[in-house]
Amino acid sequence: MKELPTHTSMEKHKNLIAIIGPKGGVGKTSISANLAIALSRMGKKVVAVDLDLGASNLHAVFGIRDSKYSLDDFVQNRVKKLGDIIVDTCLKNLGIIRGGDVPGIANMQYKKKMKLVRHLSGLGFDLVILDLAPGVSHNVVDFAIIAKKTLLVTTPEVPSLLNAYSFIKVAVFRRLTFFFKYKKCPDILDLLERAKDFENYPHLKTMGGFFREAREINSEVADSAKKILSGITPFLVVNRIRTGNDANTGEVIQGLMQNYLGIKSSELMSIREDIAVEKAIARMKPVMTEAPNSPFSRDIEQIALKLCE
Amino acid sequence: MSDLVLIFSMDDLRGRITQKVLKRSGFEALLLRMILGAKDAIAKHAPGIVIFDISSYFSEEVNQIRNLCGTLEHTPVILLGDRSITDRFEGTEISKELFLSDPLDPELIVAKVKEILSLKAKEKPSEGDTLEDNLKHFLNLD
Repeated sequence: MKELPTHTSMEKHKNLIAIIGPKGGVGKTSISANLAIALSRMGKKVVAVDLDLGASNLHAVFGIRDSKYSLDDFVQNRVKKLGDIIVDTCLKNLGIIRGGDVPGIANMQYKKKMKLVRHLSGLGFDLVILDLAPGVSHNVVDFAIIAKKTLLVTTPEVPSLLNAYSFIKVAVFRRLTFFFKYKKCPDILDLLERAKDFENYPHLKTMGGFFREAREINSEVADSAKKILSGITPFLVVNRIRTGNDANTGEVIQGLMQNYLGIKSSELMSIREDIAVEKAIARMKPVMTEAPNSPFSRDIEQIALKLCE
Repeated sequence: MSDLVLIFSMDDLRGRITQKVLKRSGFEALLLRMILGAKDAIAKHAPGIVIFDISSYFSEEVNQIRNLCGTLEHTPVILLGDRSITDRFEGTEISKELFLSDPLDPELIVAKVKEILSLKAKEKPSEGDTLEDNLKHFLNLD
């Protein structure tokens, strides 16, 4: 029987850090790899996991060409212990798990996904960095919801900012749907459905408007749901900053998320555009090892410090 | 101001390499040799960027380039050459990031040109809505 997402299975896992880049090509994998290095240099035992299933490339950033196993082997039960597929990066405190390349694996069943989460969380690492696929599929959103910290990566361009906002919106609606189902509140679930239709229900355009009406149906459940949303606090990262205007785009998206979705981002940081990234990618080496004093590496270190606070 | 890149180099090989990589990356690039008359050429072509390959010029010409750079307030300048020569431009308005020391790195030149031209495009005053207005519109929040 198919296992469905539940409110309780959405509890946060304290050592998971999800790296999300809803718009493809925003530098998510480079950030994941180099952040994992920065954190490992701070003495944390780290494993970086390529969850861009079906289109994995994290191993390439580390210049790892051959490895015996990938996540395919675990997901398809060819390997029992997840720890057996960790690949050594030759860097102290840091291992990686290669993503799979089997077509269709990206659409993993919920039950398998939760099993994977349990195993990842129980690997015995201080931090597990999840390099997730682009897009706003439920697969990606669920990992973002259960991770203790979620880095939402965008670039200053409008399409990327739009996708970042949409991602958080999908996460908010999915999280609330689980909760209202768990609380058996069909009337509030209907209201949530109506909140997706701005044209006919403009007063539900903001989460503030939604919760006002939800309280009239069941104030206790509405207040609890609001509290759950306060736990969604994405760490916003604006990558490839060139000007002061670029840096300000983070504040704009931060404001929209707060005003319309009721979501406060925990941090807003930026990473400067840096030719060192292009060069390191061409050499299939992480920037942190190739150019440790480059602007990119220094910005990544600042993010790592903030994550450990 | 156009997106033309004006290259000054007395070294035929280095000049042609620079011109070729820029053209291959989609930029219009013109190679000139003589520094004498450079000011007029810049005024005539109104380039988006000027590249001086200073290691290919004699000391006196380097001084002329230095003086010329002081008059190019609105035209970004990239200097190519040995660090000992580019050091002579210390104290000018030219950003240190635009001193590209030898050996010649075509990839880096292209990257810098891209960076400068995209920055210039962004600095043009916006004609209309703010970023927030645009996002709200696309997200159907307005």
